Amino acid sequence: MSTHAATVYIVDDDDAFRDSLRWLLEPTGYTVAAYADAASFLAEYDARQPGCLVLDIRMPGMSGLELQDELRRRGSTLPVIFVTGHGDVPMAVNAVKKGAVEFIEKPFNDRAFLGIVENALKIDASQRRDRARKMSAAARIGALTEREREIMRHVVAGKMNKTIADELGISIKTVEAHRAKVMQKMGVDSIAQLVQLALEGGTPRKPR
Amino acid sequence: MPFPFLHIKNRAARTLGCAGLVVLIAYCDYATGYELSLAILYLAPIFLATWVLGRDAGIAVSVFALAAWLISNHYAGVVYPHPFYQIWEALIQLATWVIFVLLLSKLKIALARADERFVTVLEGLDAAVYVADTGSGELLYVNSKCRAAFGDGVEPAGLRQIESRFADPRSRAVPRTWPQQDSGADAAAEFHDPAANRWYLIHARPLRWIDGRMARLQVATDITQQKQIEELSRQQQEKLQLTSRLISVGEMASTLAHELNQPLAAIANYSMGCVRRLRAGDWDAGELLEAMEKGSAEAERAGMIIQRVRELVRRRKPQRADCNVNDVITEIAQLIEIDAEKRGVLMSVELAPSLPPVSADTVMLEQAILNLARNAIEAMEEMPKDQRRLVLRSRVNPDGKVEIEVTDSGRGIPDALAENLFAPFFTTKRDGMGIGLHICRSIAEFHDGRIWATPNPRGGSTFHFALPASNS
Repeated sequence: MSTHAATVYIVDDDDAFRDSLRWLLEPTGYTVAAYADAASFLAEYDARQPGCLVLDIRMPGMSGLELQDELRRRGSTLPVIFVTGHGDVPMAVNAVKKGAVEFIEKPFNDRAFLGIVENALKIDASQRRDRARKMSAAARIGALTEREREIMRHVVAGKMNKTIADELGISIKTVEAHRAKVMQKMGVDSIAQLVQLALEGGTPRKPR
Repeated sequence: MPFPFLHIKNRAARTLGCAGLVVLIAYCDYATGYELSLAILYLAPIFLATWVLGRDAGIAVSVFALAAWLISNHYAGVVYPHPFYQIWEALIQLATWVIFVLLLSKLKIALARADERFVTVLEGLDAAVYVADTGSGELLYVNSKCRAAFGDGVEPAGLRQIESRFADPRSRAVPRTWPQQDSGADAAAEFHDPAANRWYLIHARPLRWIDGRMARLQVATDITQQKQIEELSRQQQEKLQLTSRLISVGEMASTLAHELNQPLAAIANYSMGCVRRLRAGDWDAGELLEAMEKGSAEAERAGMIIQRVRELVRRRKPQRADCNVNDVITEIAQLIEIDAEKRGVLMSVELAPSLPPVSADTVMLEQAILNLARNAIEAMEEMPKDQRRLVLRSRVNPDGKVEIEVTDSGRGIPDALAENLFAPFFTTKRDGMGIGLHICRSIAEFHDGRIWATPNPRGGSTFHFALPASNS
């Protein structure tokens, strides 16, 4: 996923600042979407769109911090970059503690700012990749039969084929056959990879 | 006194006096003989007995007078054509006297009741009421409230005595002379009684007293509580104004920085956007022009913000007047008391008993001391709670300058920083502007004074603010 397809959202009540930031960001190839207040951003924001949010900490109406809280409440992982005027630094530090990527004081150096934006987009991209992998792992686990899932649970727990066969009251040959099927369906070559997938997709549920 | 008789206090003596008078009249009647009837004179002892001793005594004296009259008539040899005439005359005489006695005693009771009502009202009033002779100042009447407020010593020259209590210069807000009785109208004024530290609203009105003298009725209402409430609200108002005035300078600097950062950020963005496009060789002249124009518009906006602040600052010209540094310190101590307490700082104030006045702009001086005190409190934030001590001190130093010292028990100032302490934009605080001490120094210099810091022998530092005394 290229970071250049990403959108940089700007929420700041200062018209000139929004406009100038768009002017600064456009040649870099990012899509820029600017909003004068938190409410209009929330109305248009699509969580499926990769990007990052450049957010003014002090705004009339819903403040930057409140918008950050609202996004977290909605389960969004959109990286937030706080932009502060003078005297808001302690507030910004607080925001970073609550999960904001970075804060930068107005006025800022363009290179430093673009670096921060790039970093935020990378974080967003990797978060999205992780999520996609987790989803596919979960999907693959869902494709296993009840018995295969049970075998996988035992394998991931680190049990030998013989132990599994004894516990389930089946032959070692049958365990081996199921195990080969699991490895094939999950698309992995090693137990280590299987364990990783099991962690990402959630351990297969214990059969009832 | 018109009636020496009234001076006799004893009841029996008074009765005897009346009887003696009756006998005297009877003798005169006998001596002057039949032609000159003096019977009318018996009314005098009867009146006296009734007025002073009561109705029964009056009737008794009337009967006694009748007996005396009969005897004197007998010895004077008054001859009636028929004894019946004498009896008739005696009865008429007696009836007249008894009617006189009854009327008189009724009148007296009515008068006493009216007086009683009047006195009850006056005594019940929650105000000091007194009537004084306009000329001599003799007090003709005082109610109990007046006696309680101004003491019992309200004899002959009493009015002067009361008035002398109000000769307090603190009554500055009100006319210090008494309302003129000659004006004929009511007058009112507020007076302060320093002996009891009370305020009175005094209404005065001229009147003619019962005996015809010109007198003045004065009603003094105690308005101390009202005054105290007024004073309290005035003080609070002043403190509020002071606080907002002092906060505004620091706030203003911070707001100014915040406001200026907006256009500056926009300018930087516009110009760097241009630079990037030009570097990349991918530009459109119209687009660049527009961005540059927007950038310079933002520069103008920044200029307007500065202009606005400049006007705000220009509005107030420094005003120097003689002032007592102790008062300023006390004011500031009250102002930061709550803040100090909240931050666990033990604050004490040590004022020199007498200081020469300094010629200063009080607001600027307050600002400087407040700044130093706040710095001191902040400097102790990292100290354990029981080691946070702030002392505000005033003294006359060996050079004869009035010196204000603000001592903290913080970590002190590292030597490396001491040099730049008062330089503008030098700060060790995470959020500081580096303006506070710089302003303090400007204020000291404006007043031909000096500011410096010294380390304390037992840790922490002391800031000294020295000003020349205004008479030197």
